[in-house]
Amino acid sequence: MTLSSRWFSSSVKMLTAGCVLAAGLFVTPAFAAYPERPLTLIVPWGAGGGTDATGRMIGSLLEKELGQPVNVVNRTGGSGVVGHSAIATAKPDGYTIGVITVESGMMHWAGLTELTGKDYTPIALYNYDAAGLQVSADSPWNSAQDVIDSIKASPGTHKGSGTGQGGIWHLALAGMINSADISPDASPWVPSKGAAPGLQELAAGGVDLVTCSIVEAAALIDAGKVKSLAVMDSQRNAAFPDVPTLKEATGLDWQMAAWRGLAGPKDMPAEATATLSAAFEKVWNSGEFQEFMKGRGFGLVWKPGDEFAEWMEASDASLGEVMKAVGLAK
Amino acid sequence: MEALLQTIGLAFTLVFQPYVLGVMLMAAIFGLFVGSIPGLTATMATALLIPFTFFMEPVPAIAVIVTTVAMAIFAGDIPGALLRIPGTPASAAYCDEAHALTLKGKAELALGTSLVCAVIGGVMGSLVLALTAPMLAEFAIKFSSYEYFWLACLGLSCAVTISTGSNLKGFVSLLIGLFISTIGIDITAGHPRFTFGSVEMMGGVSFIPAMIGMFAISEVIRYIASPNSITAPPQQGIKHVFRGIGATLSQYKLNVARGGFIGAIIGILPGAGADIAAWIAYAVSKKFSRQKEKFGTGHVEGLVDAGTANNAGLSGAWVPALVFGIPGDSITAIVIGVLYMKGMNPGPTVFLNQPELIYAVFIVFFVANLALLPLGFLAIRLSRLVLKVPRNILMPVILMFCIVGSFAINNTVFGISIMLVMGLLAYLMEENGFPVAPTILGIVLGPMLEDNFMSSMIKSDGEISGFFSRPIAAVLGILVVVVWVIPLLRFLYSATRSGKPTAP
Amino acid sequence: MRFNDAVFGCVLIVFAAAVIAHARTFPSLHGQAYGPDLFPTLISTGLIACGVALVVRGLISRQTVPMLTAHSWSGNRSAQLNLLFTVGSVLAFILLADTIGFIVLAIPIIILLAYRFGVSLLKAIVLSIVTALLIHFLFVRVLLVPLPRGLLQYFGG
Repeated sequence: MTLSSRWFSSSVKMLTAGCVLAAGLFVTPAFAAYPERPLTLIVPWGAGGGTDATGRMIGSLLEKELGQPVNVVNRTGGSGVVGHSAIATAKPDGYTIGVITVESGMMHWAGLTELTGKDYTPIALYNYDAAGLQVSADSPWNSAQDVIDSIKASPGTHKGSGTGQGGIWHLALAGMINSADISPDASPWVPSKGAAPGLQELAAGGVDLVTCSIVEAAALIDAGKVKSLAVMDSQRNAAFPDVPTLKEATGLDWQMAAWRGLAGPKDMPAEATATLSAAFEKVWNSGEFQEFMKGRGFGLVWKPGDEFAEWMEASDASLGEVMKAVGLAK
Repeated sequence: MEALLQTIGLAFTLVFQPYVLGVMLMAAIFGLFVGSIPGLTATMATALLIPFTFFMEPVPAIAVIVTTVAMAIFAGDIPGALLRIPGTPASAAYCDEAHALTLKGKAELALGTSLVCAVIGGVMGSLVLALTAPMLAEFAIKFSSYEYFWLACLGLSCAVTISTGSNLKGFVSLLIGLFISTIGIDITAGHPRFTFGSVEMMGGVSFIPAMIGMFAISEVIRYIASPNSITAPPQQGIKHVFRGIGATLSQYKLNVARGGFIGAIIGILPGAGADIAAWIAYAVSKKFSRQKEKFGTGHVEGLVDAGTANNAGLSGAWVPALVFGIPGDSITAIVIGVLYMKGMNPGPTVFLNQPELIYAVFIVFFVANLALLPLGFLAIRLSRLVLKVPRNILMPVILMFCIVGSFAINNTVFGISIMLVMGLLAYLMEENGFPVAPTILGIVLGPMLEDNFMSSMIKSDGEISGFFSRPIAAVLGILVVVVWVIPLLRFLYSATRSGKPTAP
Repeated sequence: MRFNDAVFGCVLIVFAAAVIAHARTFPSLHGQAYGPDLFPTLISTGLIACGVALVVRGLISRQTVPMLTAHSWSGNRSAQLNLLFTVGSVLAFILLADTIGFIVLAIPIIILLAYRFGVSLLKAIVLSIVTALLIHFLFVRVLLVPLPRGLLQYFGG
C-alpha cells in the first residue's frame, strides 16, 4: 500500500496546500449564482448498464455546460428502489439530481415503496427503447404470430426471460399475451439479472423467448445466435428496418418501452431547475450526445419539464393497469 | 497468410505510438493506486475512466482500460500481504496466506510471487484470448442456469477445503455467508427479505464493505485488544523482490499452468470473474498439494495458483464480451459500452470487418501485462515503507481509509455500518476458531447459487431431473455429487470404524 | 472473548429458528413449493444442525473449556476504552457524517485514536490533518467520490 509512503513524502506539500485550501474556503462568498459547487448525479443501476452509460455521458457533458464538476454516483440494488429513493429524498437544493427510469412508475404498484413520479422535479425525458420479441436463431418460430399461437396452444411450456420478476420486460411479455386474450401465466417468467444473462439463457437454449429491447440483443443478432421477430412500438426501429412492429405482425395493439429521464427531488428551486433544463437541452442537442446515443442504438426522445411529468403520469397509469391485469401489483 | 501478417503489422503501428504508450503509463499508475486502496475496485476504476475514453481513439481507449485493470488486480495483493486488507475482491482468497508470509518475514517472497504470477497469468490469459476467442466463446455460451448452479456448488465445496481448523466451524461460517447473501430484494419474486422496512437494506449487504470489515476492521480490533501481543511484522527490507522467485516457480510450474488454465476458463464463463477464479484455484491448489498442512501458515504454493488465476481471468472475461457482447464480468460490462461508443460493435463481424483493431486489442493485452513487471516492482518498493510506520500511527490511518473505502462503493454511510457490523462479527468468529474466509465465499457465491437454482426450477417446472438434462450440466452435476459425497462416506466410514462419534 | 462451543450452538439455533419463522411470512410464487423462503429455510436448517453439533461438542468439553473465557485484556481498562473509542468513532462517523462532513469529523477521530494508542499529541494532530486532507484530495479530487461536505458546504469551495 502506498498511502503511508505518500503521506510521509508529501506531508509538507499537503500541509501547505491545506492552509491555502482552508484560507480559500472561508473567503468564498456563500451566495453566488447556481451552480456554485459540484453536483451529484445519481444512477440507480449498476456500472456497465445502459442507464449508467447514458448517465455518465450526460454527467461529463453537463459538467462543461455548468462549469462545475458533476459526480456520477451509482446507487444500486433493490430493483432500482435504493437509487430512486436516494434521488427523491435528497436535499432539494439543485445539487443532487439523478437519472430516473421506467421502474419509478412500477415500484409503488409492486408495494416496494410509496414513491411515485410526483416525488421528483422532472427536468427532461431523453431516451425511450421499445421492447422487442427475440427468439433463438434455430427456433421454429418465424413470426410473432407463431409465438402467440404456440403459447395459446400449449400454455405453460414456453418460458421467457430478460429481467427480474415483475421487471419491465416481464411486463412486456405478460402484457403482450394478455392483449391476445391469453392468460399472462401461459408463458412463465424465468427471472434473470438483466437482459444480458437472459439472452445468454436464450442462446444456451434455457428459455424460449426474451422480450428485452432490440438494441440489447444487437450483438447476438449480428452473431446469428438470436433473431428478433417484432418490436412493441408504434413504428419500426431505424437500425432494424426489417423487423416489423407487433401490430404489423399480429394485429395486436400492444406497446411497451423502457425510458430514462433526468430529474431531481421534489421542490427544487426554480432557478436551479431552469438552469439545469437549459444546460441539458444543449447537451441533448450536442453532436457528441447524439452520436453517442445513436452509436449505442439508444432511442432518442426529448420531453422537457411538464411534458415529462405528463409522460410519467401516463406511463405510471398504464403500467399499473398491466401489473394489475397480470397479477404483479400488490 | 500475407494478409494476416499485414493486419498484425498494422495493429502494431496502432499500438506502438507515443500517445498510446503514454496514456497506458498514466493508466498503469492510476490502476496501481486504485487497486492498492481497499474499497476501490477495478470495476470502479474502469467506470471512472469512461468520460476520458470518450475523447480517445478506439485503441488508446481500450488500452487505458486494459492497463488499469491489470495493474489494479495485482496492486490489490500489496495491502493484502502487508496489512491483511485485500485491495480488491480478487485478492481476498489468498490474503491470509500472503499476510502469514509477511509475518514470517517473507514479505519479499509473497509480493514477488504475486507479481511474477500476475504477469504470467496475464500473459496466459492474453494468449487464450488471442488464439481461441471465437471457439471458446461458443463453449461458454452453452452455459445455462443448470450449469451455473452446479458450478456454484463446486465453488461451495471450496469452503471446506480453504477453511483452516474444524470443518464444522468452517461450515457454520459458510452458512453465515450464504444467509447474509439472502438479505435484500430477491430476484425470483421481487420480495424484500430481512430488510425490516429499510430502503438501504433492500439493496442487500454489499460485498466490498463486508470484505473490508471482515479482514481489516477485525485486524484493527485485534490490535486494540492486545497491542503488545499482536505480532507486528518484523522489520524487513523489500529490496530483492525477485530473489528466489525462479526457484519457487520451477518448483511449482505445474501450479502456474493450472492456475492460468483455471483462471482463463472461469473468466470466460459469464457470471464468474477473477475473484471466483482465485478462490477455486486456491482450493484446487490445496486439494492436490503434497503439503496440505502448510496451507494457511504462510506457504507460497496457493499463492502461485491463485495469483496466476485472477490475472488470467481478466483476459478470459473479454472472450464472450468481444464475440457475443455478453459480459464475462462487471469490468467487461463497462467495456462493451465503450466498444459500442467506438463503433467496434461486439460480435463476430468485428473480427471480420476490423481485424486490425482486434489484433491491436490483443497486443495491448500483452504490453499491459508485461509492463506490470517493472511497474509492479516499483510499487512494491514504495510500499515497503508501510512496514516501517509504527503500528500506532498506521492503525488510525487504516481505519479512516476503511471508512472512506466502504463509503465510496455506494456513496452512503450504510456501507460503513456494514463494515462495522461485519468487523465485529469477524473478530468474534476468529477469536472462537471460526474461519472467516468461508463467510466471504458464501456472500460471493450465494446469489449465483440461489438465482440459478430458482431459474432452473422454474424452467423445469420443479423437476429435479432437469438439472441433469443437458450434457455439460450432467457432467458437472455428477462431479458435484462425487466431490460432496466421497468425503462424507469416508467420514462415516472412519466414524463407524473408530466406534464412537468423532467430532467432525 | 472466548465462549464454549455450546454457547455458540445455542445462539445459532435461536437465530436460525427466528429466520425460519420470519421466512414463513414470505409470499410464495404462484403456489409453488419453491419461493423466496426456500433458501433462508435451507440455510437455517443447516445452521440448526451445526448448532446442535456444537452444543454436543461444547457439553463434552465443558470440563476443560468454561462457558466464557474472558480475554486477558478484559481487566485492562485501557484496551477496553480503546475499543470503545474505536467503535464509537465509527458510529459517530455514520451518524454525523452528513451534517458535519468528512474533514471536520475525520481530524478529531484520528487525533483521539492515535493519542489513545500512544502517539504524542502534537504528532497526532499533524497526522490527522495530513491524513484527512490527503484522503480528501485523493477521493474527492482524483476519484470524484462525493465525501460528505457537511459544515464546509456553507463555505463553497
